[in-house]
Amino acid sequence: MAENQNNMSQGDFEEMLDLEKARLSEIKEKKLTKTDRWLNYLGFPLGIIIFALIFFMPTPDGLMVSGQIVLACFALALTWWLTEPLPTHVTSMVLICLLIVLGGWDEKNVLGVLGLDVIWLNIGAFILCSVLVVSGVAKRVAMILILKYGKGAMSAVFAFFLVQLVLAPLIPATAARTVMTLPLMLLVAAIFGSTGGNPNNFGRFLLLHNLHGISIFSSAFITGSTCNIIAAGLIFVMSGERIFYTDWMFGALPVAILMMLASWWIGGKLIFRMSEKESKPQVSGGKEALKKELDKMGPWTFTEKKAGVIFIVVILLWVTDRWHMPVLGFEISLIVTALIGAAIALWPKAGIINWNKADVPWHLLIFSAGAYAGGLALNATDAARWIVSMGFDRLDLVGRQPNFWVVYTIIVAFMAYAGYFFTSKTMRTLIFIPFVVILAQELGYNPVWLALPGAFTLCWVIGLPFNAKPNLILYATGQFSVMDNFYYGFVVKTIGIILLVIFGMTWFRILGITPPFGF
Amino acid sequence: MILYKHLLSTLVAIIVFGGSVFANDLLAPDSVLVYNEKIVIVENGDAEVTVTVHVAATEPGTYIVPLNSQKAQNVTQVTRSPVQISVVEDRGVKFLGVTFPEDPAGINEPIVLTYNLPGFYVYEKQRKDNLGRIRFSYTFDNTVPANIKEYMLTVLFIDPYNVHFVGELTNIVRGRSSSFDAINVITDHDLGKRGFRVIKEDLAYRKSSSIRVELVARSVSVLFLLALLAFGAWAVFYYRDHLEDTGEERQLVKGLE
Repeated sequence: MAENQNNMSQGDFEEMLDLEKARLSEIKEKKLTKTDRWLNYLGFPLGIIIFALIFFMPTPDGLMVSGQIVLACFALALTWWLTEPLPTHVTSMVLICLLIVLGGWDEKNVLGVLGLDVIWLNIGAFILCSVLVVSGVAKRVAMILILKYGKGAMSAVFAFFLVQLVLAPLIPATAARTVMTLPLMLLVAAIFGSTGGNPNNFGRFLLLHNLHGISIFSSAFITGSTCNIIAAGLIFVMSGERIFYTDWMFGALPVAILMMLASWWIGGKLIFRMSEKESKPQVSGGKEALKKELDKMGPWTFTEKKAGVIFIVVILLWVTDRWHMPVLGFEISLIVTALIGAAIALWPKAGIINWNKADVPWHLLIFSAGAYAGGLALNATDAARWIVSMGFDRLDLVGRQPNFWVVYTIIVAFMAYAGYFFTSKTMRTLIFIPFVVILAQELGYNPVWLALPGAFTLCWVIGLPFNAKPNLILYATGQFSVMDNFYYGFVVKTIGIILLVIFGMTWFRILGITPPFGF
Repeated sequence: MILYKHLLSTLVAIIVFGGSVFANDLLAPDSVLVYNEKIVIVENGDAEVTVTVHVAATEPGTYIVPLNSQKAQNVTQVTRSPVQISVVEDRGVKFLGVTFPEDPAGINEPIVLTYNLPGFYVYEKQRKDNLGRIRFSYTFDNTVPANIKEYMLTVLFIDPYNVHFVGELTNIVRGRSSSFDAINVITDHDLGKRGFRVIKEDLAYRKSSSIRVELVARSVSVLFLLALLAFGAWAVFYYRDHLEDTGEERQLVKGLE
């Protein structure tokens, strides 16, 4: 009887699993805590005060006026994105308008951001995601996953941990991995009673832990992200030290795995503590009912098979990108691959969905465009570089000549936390790595000792929704707030920094990544 | 316009000194160690230029170094030194002639000179010429067959003008045009002026250093500031009911009951 009260009826359950009704393009009404309400209320004037302080201060040396304007606008938007007095997409619109009107960046450039590859990738990704939902593939795979690993919340989330670990070396594109696993996340979240309109702690934990997995496992492999390859290239060009695939993997993979284990345990047990009800699939009759539901779906339908084939083709094109040129004579980029998949899925009669079924959340794309415009403007006006150089100047590491491990910790922490203020890992790489290599040379250290551990943090973009593409895609689900993202990300990043310091003093010394014992 | 003039002077220099043989016993130095230009623009558009040049010589004679502004007036040597500096002309092109005495041994110091450039940069004219945008471009050409080891340009504008943007103003998404040198925005606290500095190392013969910036008059708009603060105050008043407890708590709290 008690179980029946806690769990939902079969009708509710089917309703919950029907993701076609819980569309990402519809903004869900959020229920606010008292803290949320205070943040919303104070965030608005706070943003204005921060904006005014930066905008009206005398232009500091090294900063152009346009950079100062962009900095003020971005600080306003950042405050509003964090405290959410306005919906995030409205804040982005305000940011876009301010950048243009105040002369922070050219109108052509600001508005042109909506045509960037990242926006197109998001559109393709959401269409592919709709294909998996509409065809029923997502529902089927999610139920198989839960039946196999879904004894409880922790084991269900751990299954995703393993999925992300396996996918990371195979598919370098984080957005692609997000798209592949998003429908499964949503279905599993729904089975545990968490929906976009009414998220619970399981939903927050599942989505954000996956976000951590997608980003942190990318840091484990040199091919995990373009920024890793650029970082290794910069280290080689500037210092002559070549970083091999195994150098990177042996150093970064153990850190990534331990970091993710910490994220899994802390997320589920401390940050998003779940009630007994949330820890179990919320369906009347428990696993038996799920099994019945799966049986009811019968064998794989033709539509499901078709969706599976489209998805396999897309994944194959993503995985084999390095062989496109020699085999095909031309290259199909990640974005074009997603669009090809989307076009096939939308093909009249032969496809799977029509445009009305494609769930493209335009509010999220506007949010992304604003965030990217702000980030790119910070870069174009050199304001980002100015902040970084000011930070290094203030630390005055060359003048103070501190102990190597103090420098090491500062660099690793600085690079990890700086991820909060950037929208692009590549930009962060291009700004930070040369600074760190030069600093190491001035201090008389091998540049690898500081630059490589610092480079391991480049993919830790787990702090805010606009820090990376997967964050934006997952944020659109309405399963977590900006503050949830910030707080959980901050804790896990801090653990990562501690791990890098411990590894730096021990394992990395054996690998030759940090100074040998006795240095 | 200024850019074209410099390009023209470069062309003249290349045509005239293609063989790098100078008249009037003028010599080309092996290298110029330092060449600093500091251009301070004043209210009426005139500029006061200070040039610091350091040429090392082992033999007596007059060595030429570039004089970037052919309209320089009142050239005056500031530092007292056995080395004398003057404007020399060769086949219609003006240079700075650095004359070392009979025995140049032991003389190893930079020489400072100043000159004026009337009508160098008139803000309002620039605004009219560039459809409201105030742009400033400057190119320094090394017209002497010697490597300049360190070239530094400092330009200071009248208050409240400051550097708004650098280089090409469009297509920055894909990276800034590499044809312009990187600049550093500075404030000269002694003069109370803002401007920029460019440092270029190893500027070889016939090479140039080019910059282009857009300027803006930075002034605090009290009206804008008041409007912002009023907007914030309005929001505090208008949304005060947002703090009222609606009885709906998020799962973050509720789930732990």
